[in-house]
Amino acid sequence: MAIPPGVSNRDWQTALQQFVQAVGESGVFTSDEDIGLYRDAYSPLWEEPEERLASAAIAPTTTEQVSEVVRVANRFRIPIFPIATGRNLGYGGSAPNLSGSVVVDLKRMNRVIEVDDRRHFAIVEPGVSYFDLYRHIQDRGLKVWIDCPDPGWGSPLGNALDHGVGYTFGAYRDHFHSHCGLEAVLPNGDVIRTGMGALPGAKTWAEYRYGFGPTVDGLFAQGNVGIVTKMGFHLLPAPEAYQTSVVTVPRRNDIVPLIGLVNELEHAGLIGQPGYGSPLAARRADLEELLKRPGGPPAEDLDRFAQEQKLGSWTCRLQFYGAPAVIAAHIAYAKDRFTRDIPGATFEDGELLRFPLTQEQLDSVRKVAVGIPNLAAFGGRRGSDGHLWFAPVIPKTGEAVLEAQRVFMDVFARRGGPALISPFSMPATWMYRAFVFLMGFPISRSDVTVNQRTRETMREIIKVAAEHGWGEYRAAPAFQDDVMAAYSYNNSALLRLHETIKDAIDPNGIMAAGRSGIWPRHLRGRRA
Amino acid sequence: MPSRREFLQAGLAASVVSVVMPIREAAGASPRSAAAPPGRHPLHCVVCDMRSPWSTDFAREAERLGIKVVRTNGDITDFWFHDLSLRWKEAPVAIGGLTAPGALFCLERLGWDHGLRVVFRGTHRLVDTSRAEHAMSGPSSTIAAAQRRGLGGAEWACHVARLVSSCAVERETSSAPLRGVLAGSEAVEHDRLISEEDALTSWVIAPKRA
Ligand SMILES: Cc1cc2nc3c(=O)[nH]c(=O)nc-3n(C[C@H](O)[C@H](O)[C@H](O)COP(=O)(O)OP(=O)(O)OC[C@H]3O[C@@H](n4cnc5c(N)ncnc54)[C@H](O)[C@@H]3O)c2cc1C
Repeated sequence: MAIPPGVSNRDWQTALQQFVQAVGESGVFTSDEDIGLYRDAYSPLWEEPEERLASAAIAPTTTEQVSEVVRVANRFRIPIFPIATGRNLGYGGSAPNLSGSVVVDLKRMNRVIEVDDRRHFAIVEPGVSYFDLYRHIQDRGLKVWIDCPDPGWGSPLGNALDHGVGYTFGAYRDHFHSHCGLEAVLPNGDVIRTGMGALPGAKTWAEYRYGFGPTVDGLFAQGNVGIVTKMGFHLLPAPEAYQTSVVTVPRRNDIVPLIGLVNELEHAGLIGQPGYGSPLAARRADLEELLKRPGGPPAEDLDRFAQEQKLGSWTCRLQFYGAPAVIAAHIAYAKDRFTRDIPGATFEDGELLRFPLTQEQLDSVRKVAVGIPNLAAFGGRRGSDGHLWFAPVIPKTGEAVLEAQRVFMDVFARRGGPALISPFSMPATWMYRAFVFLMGFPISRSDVTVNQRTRETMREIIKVAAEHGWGEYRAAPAFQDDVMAAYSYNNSALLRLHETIKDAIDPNGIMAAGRSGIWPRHLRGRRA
Repeated sequence: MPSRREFLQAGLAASVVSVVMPIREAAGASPRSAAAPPGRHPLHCVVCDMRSPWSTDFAREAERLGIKVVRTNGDITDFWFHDLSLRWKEAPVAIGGLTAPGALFCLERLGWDHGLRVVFRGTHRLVDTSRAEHAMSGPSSTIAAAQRRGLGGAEWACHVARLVSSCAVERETSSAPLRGVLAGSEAVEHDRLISEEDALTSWVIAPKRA
């Protein structure tokens, strides 16, 4: 059993006893086997000395227990690291930033406190998974939808606290944005409620997020000033129907008006999450010669190929939600706009799906698009040791996409090895007002050189992105210092403010040390 | 110190009570469940991946042995949501399977939260139309049985079904690489080859021993 850094063996033993007093024997885990379960399954440092490992885990069941655990940790200056369901794969899993931290595993706090389908909100504890919340809603026939990420086994609260994202409509996809009010335990054990929740007996905690005075909720997301124990979320009223229409545009440069128009439809609330693609991506083998050209393939040549092959250059899947008549009107309007602005645009409408869906419809629909949690993302044939997400935020324009393709392809060309980006790569569209040019770098459990290479490329690509004004929205612990370093405006004034806040709220530096590159004072020199 | 299983079970008792739903017909579950002889993990069911002919062989053999089979297309969501998550809230029952690695990856992690662990694990690939390669780790007597019997012949997936269904409850573990030759008339079609990347995995997830 490892001992947390900077803690004497005597203090550690006493603290363990006090943790047991706080949560009971059944809530404290110290065996190697149990601790091993908190390793990051996709760690880019797997089996290397720097791999981030926990020293113990504690599983409280109530806010009071969390508060007591934190008080004990603060007394003995034991670093702690909270997780909700701990499935943050590709961004750190359930492992802490600082090796030797005690993981505070909140899976046992799994109560759905409230779901209201007239005012459209939910309040949940950290251990409630998307599956749990969905089941709660289905079992009671409530007329609300949740917005889930690809894997449904995560926690709405945990996902939101890492600025996680989903697949349905507008701001609901930005899970932290759709939160409303939270309860948190501060490093001194004090329990606070934000927004209207600060008012005893508040009736609108999960509806009006600001309450009165400055808002502090943002400090708890990707932050390290407290453990969130409850969180409210706005929910989408269950729509009557859903339909997709895929628009295909013929020319490479049509990407600019395509994205412009889709933005307009989306920001006006007419469509849900758009999904971009290129039919040419599947024809890369036929385009090999063109793709090798220095500076990339000329647009005219790609257009000629696309025309000969009767393929479009780009597609966008538009998703419409609402009453059938409203959907029909929105589709008609969208088609009219695309046809007018982009000559040659064509459309393929999906089936109009009315809820509840038949089993056959359920089997064929993209589940996350209709708020159904699932694990299909892990249903491929291929095994892999995992991946590390690189997630730079870029503007929502065609020009930015083409520039990002060029810039990132250059990085891969310079470094050699397989490129994760091609002239047909399109960004992820989870965010409402920006794109994420997502890439999954390979991880290996058996070949350290793969991980070393991935780490080098990550470090370089983070810098290159920053030089172009793109920063990552999220990153695995091994790269959080690098990402934070890129947010350096005015001599890293933001980081300095974070550190000031950290020192004030958590003077002993016990809470999630190093999260987002924010280290407590006593560890600031040694950064991970 | 208590086990993670105990702590999570305690926590689950406080979780939202849900209606038990039957496994969907489409998931192809057969109604029977195997009663295992003493010293063997009784399996609630085995999971197979209908995209693989080998896994289909495995399923057929498991069914013949009287074990409930859950047929998937690689995605375990329906099985998890409508069956296993409810079952594991009641008790940590053992399950087995021959699937793509992703299904095991999910089920293993979901099992941890209910005090279960992977107690038997095999990987299987077909390097060419007449040669299979297997690697297994698990209870020593189960591995020894695999070594005695071998996994040769085009029936290897059926042998794996028998190994999985008779996986021993045993603390001592060992591992072994095994080669299987598919002789002459048994040589398989190209579409039955399994590359390294597509390797199938056999497994048993069972309650952790105290
Ligand atoms: C194939 C695949 C697809 C994915 N798709 C998506 C996707 O579509 N969208 C998406 O957002 N992600 C996606 N992910 C990433 C990740 O799996 C999800 O975001 C997942 O929901 C995060 O895990 P979790 O919900 O268990 O949160 P946790 O791991 O529990 O929490 C995440 C982080 O939040 C902080 N935290 C958690 N709980 C607390 C608390 N109570 N107090 C203070 N801080 C806390 C911690 O820093 C923790 O590390 C994907 C991953 C994979 C492998």
